[in-house]
Amino acid sequence: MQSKFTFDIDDVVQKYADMVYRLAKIHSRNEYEVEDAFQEVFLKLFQNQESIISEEHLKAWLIRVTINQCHSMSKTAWNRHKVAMESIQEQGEEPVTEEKEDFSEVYEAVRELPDKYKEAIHLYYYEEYSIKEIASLLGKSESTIKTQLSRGRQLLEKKLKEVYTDEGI
Amino acid sequence: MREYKEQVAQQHAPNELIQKTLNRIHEEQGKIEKQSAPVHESRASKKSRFRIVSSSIVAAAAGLAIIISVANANSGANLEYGTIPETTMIRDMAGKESTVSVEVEYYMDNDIVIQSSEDKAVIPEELLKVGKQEVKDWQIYAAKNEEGNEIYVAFEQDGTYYYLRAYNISEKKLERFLKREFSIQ
Repeated sequence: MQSKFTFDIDDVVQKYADMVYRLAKIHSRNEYEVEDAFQEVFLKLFQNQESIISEEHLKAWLIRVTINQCHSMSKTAWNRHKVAMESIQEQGEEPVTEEKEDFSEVYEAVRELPDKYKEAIHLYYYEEYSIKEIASLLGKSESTIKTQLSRGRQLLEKKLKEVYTDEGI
Repeated sequence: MREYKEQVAQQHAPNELIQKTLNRIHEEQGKIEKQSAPVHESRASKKSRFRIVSSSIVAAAAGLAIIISVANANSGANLEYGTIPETTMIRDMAGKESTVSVEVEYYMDNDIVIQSSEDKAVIPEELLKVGKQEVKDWQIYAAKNEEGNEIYVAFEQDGTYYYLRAYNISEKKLERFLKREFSIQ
């Protein structure tokens, strides 16, 4: 069935670059992995353009594929890192690996959450999707998403209490 | 969460990365135009393939307990799936220290990820512990996470070991995929 929705891939990359990048960033501290995931997501979009039926679907598709891509890459993260390091070092280049930025405790605490909690938190608080929308995006029930949000918040609270207690606050 | 939102809002994809990505896409476009092949294939027949060949030295994994329970909810499903609890993390090539060459392929918009190798170490120990089952001539390991939205399958075919991880796919759909791709039935 021919899709009636068409888009310019260059425009879409520009428009959703930050969204995909931010989502990949909460999954990995390795900048190489983040960049790899970013490229693969948009390449896959280019290869699967025909399946996109609307702007709303496009955004949801990007989010879902980014999450899946990050999950997949983390599984062979060690392999890829080793290969990347070897090939870069052979060329005498400085490897881009760990990030150099300093992030806030809250951000780091979210990143340390298990994937399912951090994804729910990010999609709910940052992307401002509703619970129903997140459930649909991730292929889960609404009650599961509610539980994940609740559990994610509990873990965050616990983590941040520890941080502030250690700092004498 | 305001602080979180503010922190995230400050992150932007580097321009260099965006340009690199666009270059890759344009390269693909160029290849397609050169071959005069149709840009789009039908979704039903298309495979999305991405191949990486890499070697690694694998770190030892922690030992984890696995509760085995058998669930066979979907009608038409031929495999029986053990359950791996949420507290258990499936670790690739767990518990082995060796140099393993692994190929990774993606199907169905990344909903299925398959790692293959001539080394059995590609199959996580957590999955091997679930226990194998015989389906006709096949010896297969199959399990799901507690939520049921992730399925893990492993088997050997023609001297190659396969470890498959599927997200948000029904057992029936996965088994049809296995039948189509690997003639497992």
